[in-house]
Amino acid sequence: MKRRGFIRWGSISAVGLFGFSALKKNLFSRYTQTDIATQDQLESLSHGSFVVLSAAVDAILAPSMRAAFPAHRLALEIDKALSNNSPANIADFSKALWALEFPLSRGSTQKVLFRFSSLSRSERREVLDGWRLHSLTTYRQAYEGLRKLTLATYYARSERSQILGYSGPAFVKAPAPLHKGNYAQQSKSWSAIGAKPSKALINAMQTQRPKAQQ
Amino acid sequence: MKTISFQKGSFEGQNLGESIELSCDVCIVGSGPGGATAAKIFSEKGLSVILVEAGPYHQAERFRMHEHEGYSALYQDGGQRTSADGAIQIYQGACVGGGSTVNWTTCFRLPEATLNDWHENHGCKSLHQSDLEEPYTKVEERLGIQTTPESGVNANNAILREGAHTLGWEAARTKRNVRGCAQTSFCGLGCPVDAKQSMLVTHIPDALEHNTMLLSRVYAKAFSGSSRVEKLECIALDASGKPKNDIDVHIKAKNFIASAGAINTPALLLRSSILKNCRGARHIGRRTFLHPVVLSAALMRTRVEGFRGAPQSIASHAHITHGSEESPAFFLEAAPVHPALAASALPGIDLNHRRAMERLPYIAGHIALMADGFYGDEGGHITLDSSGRPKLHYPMSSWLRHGFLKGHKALAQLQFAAGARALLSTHTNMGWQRDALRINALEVEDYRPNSFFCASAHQMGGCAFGSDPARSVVNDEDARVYGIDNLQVIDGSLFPTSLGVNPQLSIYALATHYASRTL
Ligand SMILES: Cc1cc2nc3c(=O)[nH]c(=O)nc-3n(C[C@H](O)[C@H](O)[C@H](O)COP(=O)(O)OP(=O)(O)OC[C@H]3O[C@@H](n4cnc5c(N)ncnc54)[C@H](O)[C@@H]3O)c2cc1C
Repeated sequence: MKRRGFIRWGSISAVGLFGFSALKKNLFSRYTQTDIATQDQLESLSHGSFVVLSAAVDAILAPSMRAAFPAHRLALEIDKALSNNSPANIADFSKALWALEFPLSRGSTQKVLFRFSSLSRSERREVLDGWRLHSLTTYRQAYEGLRKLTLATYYARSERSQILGYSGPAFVKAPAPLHKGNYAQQSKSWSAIGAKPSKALINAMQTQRPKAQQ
Repeated sequence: MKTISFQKGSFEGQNLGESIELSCDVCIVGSGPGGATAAKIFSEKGLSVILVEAGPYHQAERFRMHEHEGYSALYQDGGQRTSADGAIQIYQGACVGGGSTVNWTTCFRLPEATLNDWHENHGCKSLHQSDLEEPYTKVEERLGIQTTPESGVNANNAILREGAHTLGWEAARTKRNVRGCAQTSFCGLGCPVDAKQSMLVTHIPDALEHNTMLLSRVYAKAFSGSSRVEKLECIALDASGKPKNDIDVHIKAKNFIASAGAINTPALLLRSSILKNCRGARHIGRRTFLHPVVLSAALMRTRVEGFRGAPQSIASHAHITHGSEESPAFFLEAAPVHPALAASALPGIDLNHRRAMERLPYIAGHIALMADGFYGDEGGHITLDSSGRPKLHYPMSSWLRHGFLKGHKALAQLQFAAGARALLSTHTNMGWQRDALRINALEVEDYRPNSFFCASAHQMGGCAFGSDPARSVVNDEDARVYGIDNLQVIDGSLFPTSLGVNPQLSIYALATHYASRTL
């Protein structure tokens, strides 16, 4: 099934790339805000996929949400969240973004000469709406995946949800455990049992030491 | 590779700087209800136990009740696990304590009817309800499992009960594994006050007090050996859970236990070439069940604040006997209404979605959980992707879709009976419904994958136990894998069907039963 999904995206994006190869990138690129993110800020996606993601996020967020938090910044958070996924899933997500970007692969008959990221917001919304109700499950999957990831990432921050009347965490700092047990376990150091600790740990300890001495 | 001697206590894989080899009596993969319970019992017997866990060892002070931190740190795939076609959101723990660290604390014993079905249809001859009596008593005592007091029922759960009772349906307070619950509502992000009696604060410290070495952030790749398992091959992970490719951890043991949970235990066995020739090899990963969930969001007249209080305290099993060849039985529970959870479940984008979110404090969230695996249902199956990670293929059969349909209709009936002004069925092509007309007009065709919200927090099966090696992966006498003497499976993947109730207590009891009587 997974393999089939992969092949489907593979062939859909191949059609899209072929149909689009004649079009020059900059000629149609209207979605420029994403220049703010550079490739080295990204953990999961290529810069190209990131531009498409930002354009999609911009169409998914309601105006008041975008006003409170710009779409391309949310796209950066999504890129970070994606890094928890397997490389195969991230690759699939990228393929879905490319399928969205190129006219022939996005499966719609409108604006066939334009990349998704060059469309106006209302046109991008229309394209996404087409995916929502598409007869092929692959498109619906991509729509739902994009939608859920965008909206869950947005509302996961309580500072962005409080406006809804969400009370947020019950307290800022957890009080001492109510039920005292014997469970507060400190992890032991590998060197105590003869194994070499990681470089990261050694570095962290070295940077902490001078601070502690100051 | 350096040989290191066994040392009890907890160690973190992300801090390890070289490849090592360890030895012990029992090596267990996974520290959830199955693995932690087994570790406690084996180490109390005086055996040296190494408990391997891929997730981080986070404790109360790290549970800061923030959705943006909790899901990514404590859940499989950072909370983004889905079935292969993306249609089912899979919520599954990935931390020390496994699902018990993040679950909603509802406790039910294994229903008699389910065990009877296993006897009659799945060749489970050796396990009897009486075997579990003593384990239940021990676990219920250790984990403080008790009926929720009335003061612990939040508005969201009270609405569930009110709707059910108005219709004459059974609905009652559930038992929970908590002591001194502070009603923070954040059970799903790890209990910040250690009130939840998860494995993190019960069986794991019990095990560590005896002879257990806990290795967090260490990922088990495969069991290796010829006719018996000789070692477990693992890799250390960095602090964010990514493999540190150059740092291997090999563990030699006399006995090995796979307790990585449904989906992950079958995947571990599928990665292990030693399992290719075991007798039940072709059943590994088959018959994986989910209690797939449909959700209905009700807009109430007064504030519900489903993001406050214990997430679950009421359940209705009024429809659990209504399963048939045509559709599964189901049961009804409440779901917490935290912003990110709600945002992914509520349909639409842009203003449609925003308007629904703006009603968050007034929304009650209730779910119908399908009892899959009965009446000939085969559930889903597991394969591996190119990197060896599990892929769950779970077809939405017509049988299951009929269940979703009935579940949604029952939820709508219940929510309107409780005074809902309108409701959202989560279908991508339907908005708020002010009466049940459109819900009642829903058809099976409306349940195409990815056209409504579907999720699972109860993964089960994939290494079914039974007395017939031709039909099962694991022997129900002692939980040993058929054909491999020193390998047991002790976790939720043992179940040959779903349970029809929340699974954790059955897993604790089975783990207690099998760990007490073996080795
Ligand atoms: C949000 C949520 C709410 C829930 N609510 C309830 C509830 O109210 N009541 C109830 O009864 N049940 C509930 N459950 C389900 C319950 O928690 C699980 O059924 C139970 O935890 C399963 O136990 P297990 O031992 O089979 O596996 P798990 O709990 O999944 O533990 C397996 C562990 O193995 C680790 N692991 C996996 N693969 C590897 C590997 N290769 N190497 C090393 N480690 C590995 C995992 O990280 C995990 O920690 C809920 C679950 C979730 C996610």
